[in-house]
Amino acid sequence: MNESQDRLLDQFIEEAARKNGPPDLRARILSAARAPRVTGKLAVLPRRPLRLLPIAITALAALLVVTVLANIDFIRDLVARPQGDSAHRSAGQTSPGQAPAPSPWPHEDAAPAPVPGARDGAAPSPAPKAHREQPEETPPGPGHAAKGPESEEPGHATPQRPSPEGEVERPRQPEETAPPKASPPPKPAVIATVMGKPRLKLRYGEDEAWSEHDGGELKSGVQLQVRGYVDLALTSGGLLRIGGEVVLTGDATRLESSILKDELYIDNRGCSQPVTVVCQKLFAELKDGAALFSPAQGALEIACLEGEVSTPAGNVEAGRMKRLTSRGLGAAKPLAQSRMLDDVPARTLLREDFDQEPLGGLYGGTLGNGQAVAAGHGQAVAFRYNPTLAVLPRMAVKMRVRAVRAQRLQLELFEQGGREQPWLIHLTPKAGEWVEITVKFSDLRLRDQPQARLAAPTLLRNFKLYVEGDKDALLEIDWVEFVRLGPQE
Amino acid sequence: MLMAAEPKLELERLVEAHQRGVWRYLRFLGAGESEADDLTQETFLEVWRKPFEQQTPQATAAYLRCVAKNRFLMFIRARGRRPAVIDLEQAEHDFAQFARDDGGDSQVDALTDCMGRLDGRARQAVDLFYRDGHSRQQAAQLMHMKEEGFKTLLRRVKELLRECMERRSQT
Repeated sequence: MNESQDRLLDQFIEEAARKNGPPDLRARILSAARAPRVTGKLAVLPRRPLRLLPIAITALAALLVVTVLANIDFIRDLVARPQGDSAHRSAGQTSPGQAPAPSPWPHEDAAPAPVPGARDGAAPSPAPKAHREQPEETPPGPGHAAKGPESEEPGHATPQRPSPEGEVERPRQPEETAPPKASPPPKPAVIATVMGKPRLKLRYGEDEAWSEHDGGELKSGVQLQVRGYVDLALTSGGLLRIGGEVVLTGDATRLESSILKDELYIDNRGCSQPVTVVCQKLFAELKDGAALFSPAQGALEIACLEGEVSTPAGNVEAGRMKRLTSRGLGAAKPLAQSRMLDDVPARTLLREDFDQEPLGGLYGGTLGNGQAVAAGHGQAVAFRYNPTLAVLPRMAVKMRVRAVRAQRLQLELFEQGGREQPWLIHLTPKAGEWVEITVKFSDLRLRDQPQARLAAPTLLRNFKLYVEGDKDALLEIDWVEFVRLGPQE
Repeated sequence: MLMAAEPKLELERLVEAHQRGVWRYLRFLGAGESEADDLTQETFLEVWRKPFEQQTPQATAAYLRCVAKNRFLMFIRARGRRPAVIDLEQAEHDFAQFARDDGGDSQVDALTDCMGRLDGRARQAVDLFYRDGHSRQQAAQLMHMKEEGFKTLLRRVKELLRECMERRSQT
């Protein structure tokens, strides 16, 4: 049974299970067929006599009147603008002590006239009385601003935007004015999911009560409280192991972890998401590596397993441990054992379940029933990555396979644009039983260079698993997973 | 027999005989349920407007699937979507082989009957995954199983159902 037949079987089982088969569309189709169909050219309408013309003219005139009435204030404003502008400019130039009248410019229309007596010793405002008496009522409409200059000294014709004088107090925003609608705050980004089902309490903010984690995703701003250790899979693909209490903020491009209590292990090797650790006003950043951070009295112990941890006082190199305090970085010491690293889980980098064709394409074997199958001696299940898979330290390939009438399996991983011969290993699974196999990349060899090791930063392009045995040997693969093993594995 | 011989009666017969097969085929190509309803209607209206010669029921079904496929491709192209099936020729062949002459009616009936005989965990797995629409992970959790264990169970059940369906549809 091939993949599409498998999909058809799924579809038919679902139809039988849900009893949601095809609806009876007879009535619908027949009525649609009976309905007259509009086809052909658009008919040319005969010219109508002009008896509708008077009605149309009347309607247009009525529309024009309504429009004019609705915009009467605006039209007045347009008419009054040159006078008001020149008057205002004149007032500004000749009487510097006078407060300017409200601006006629549209964006200042919302501002009311100056509050009377707001400035000690100021000359009486030339603004119209009506504005001064009721400055805090409804915000003036477009017409109000234009009215102000009318009472002022006209004369100058050049319309120019007035510049407010230094001593003039800006009109106070009326209390009644509705504040502009604030756009809703952006939704916090999903930053991680919890691995396994540990007991974990969380809250979003100090005011919120702690609640048990119900299995959902963790969003930026989450405060976590755990007993023992909890592992988080970051959306960037990294792994975070936390102990005690920690606050996580950020998004897919950057993460900040504030340690409040206990330790924190970060593995962001091969991810593009740097993680900043904040603890007691001390900062450290891990860009591409693995490190353990432990708060101490007024200090942060940094143990760097891979990559480099940068701090304002200097860097901590791989294989070293340093103590960061407000005075700087202490002397380097060799890494010490930590219980936190004992059983750090593997980080999944790529998984193929064979429910559908791998994104890079399957070019060996067939898919069916959620498995990839190779039938016959010398046949293989082979697929390409999409487009490549980067080798990281401590990487391994895990797979669940069953081999029938097979003597051995040969795993081959090919490099992208590199050497022609593959990295390979021979495996002998139990005959006829489903088994889970883990192959560390460090165990793979080249046929003619047995001393060579597959190491970062090699790029791989495909996976191939051959079956060798009887003519009718059979290889079935349930899933294949590429992982980065924990530091102690 | 020409489609236009007795047009309305002929259309009714044609719809009666082939609508379920066309609908299932559209679903197989990736149409949603209401999309399949609309496209099935369009398919029959198209052949109603452009009559064709019906030689055998199989040839008619194949022609209708061809029209339905073209309608579906036009529909998804207008929406910038891609079909769920990449090799459309192979898909047509597989559907014709799997659904047989009646557009899949007898296969679905056989499966309904076979599923009635399932019990215990097999029945539960089918109900959770196919009837209730749970993901494999969710269904595995509800059955207190590992995901891969559930996958294996489902695979076995599917194999049983396929064998049962084939036996029944042969008899």
